[in-house]
Amino acid sequence: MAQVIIYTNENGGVSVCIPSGELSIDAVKTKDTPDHSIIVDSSILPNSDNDFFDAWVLSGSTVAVDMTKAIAVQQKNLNIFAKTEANHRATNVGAGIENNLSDTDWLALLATARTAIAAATTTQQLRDAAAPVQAAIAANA
Amino acid sequence: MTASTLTSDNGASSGTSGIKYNGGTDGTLQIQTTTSGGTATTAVTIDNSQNVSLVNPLPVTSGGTGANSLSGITVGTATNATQLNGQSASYYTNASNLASGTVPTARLGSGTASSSTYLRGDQTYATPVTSISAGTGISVSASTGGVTVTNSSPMTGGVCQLWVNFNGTLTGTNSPRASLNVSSVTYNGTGDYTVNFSITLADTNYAYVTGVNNIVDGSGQGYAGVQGSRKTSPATTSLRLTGFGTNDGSAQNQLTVNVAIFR
Repeated sequence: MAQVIIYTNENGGVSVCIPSGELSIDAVKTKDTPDHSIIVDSSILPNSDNDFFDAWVLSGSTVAVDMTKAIAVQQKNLNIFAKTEANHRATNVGAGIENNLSDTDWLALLATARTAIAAATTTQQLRDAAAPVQAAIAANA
Repeated sequence: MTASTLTSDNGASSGTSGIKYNGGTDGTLQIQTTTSGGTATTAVTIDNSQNVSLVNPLPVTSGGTGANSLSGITVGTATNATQLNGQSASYYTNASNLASGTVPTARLGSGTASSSTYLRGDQTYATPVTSISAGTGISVSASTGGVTVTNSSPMTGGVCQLWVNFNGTLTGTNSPRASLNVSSVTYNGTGDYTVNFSITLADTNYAYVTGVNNIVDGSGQGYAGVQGSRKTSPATTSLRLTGFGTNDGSAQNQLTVNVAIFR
């Protein structure tokens, strides 16, 4: 596996620096990353949870997903989806196009998702919680 | 007939120089000079076929008259000849009059002339340049003509100083797909990238051009792009960018991020 340089950034998250190959990784570490950065094999990164990259935390040389942060990330994602879809639904109404869900059902779907997200203990549960909302959005012409 | 000798001296006493006629027994006739010591030296010989040979060549003086043609005669030195084959001496020193034959390569320059050398302006046979290096960081392939630039300092002349194409979705192994003068790309968060340069630009007044090809995260609606970071100013050694998408402009990862910087 390729080697990368990781460090805790100013946001408390993990920055991952990937060399282009023009310089050695040691030279890149010296030039492009802070002193507290470390070189690791990319296989130690929780790559299956890339969608929760903003919830990664570095402890020693281990990178893991912080579930508290992950829940916040997914709530934020859901809100983005909801606001985008709200605009879409309003546009449909204005254009005389019937939405696939009534406003009541749509809001209920969102509430259920938010509850499930808040109660999730794994990243997969977070994905599953948001999936019905994403499916409803995709199905709404 | 027996050989006979006719001697004619200057009338002085014996031992002085004079002229001696010497008829040989083989039919030759010699005219000799004799020193005061009595040593005889042949000056002219006429053989029995009436050929005349001179020990010393006849001098030909300027303005003199001679035979209409000479044949079978080797001229040792003709320092003041005015024409040769009807041409003046300047004709034979004018290279424009070379009309036949091939000038030997050794007459054109020094060094070794071959199919793998060429004649330079300084008249030296030299090996063709197969690649050139203009300082550090540029080379030209003689076989393909391709120019490779790996400069360690910024180029001048308003050209693209660096560029990169990278996957904006962190997978842990996705190093930049292709780049020039980019040492690394750092993923700081969703849609939060730092492009690190392998060169140091003269200042931060450069122009950066960005582009993306699609949204990976989000609903699939709205717009997408990459813009300069709102929290980190451009630097001479790096540029921080924010990928965005959807209608509210939230940070989003981009499948492909393209960045080029001009200065």
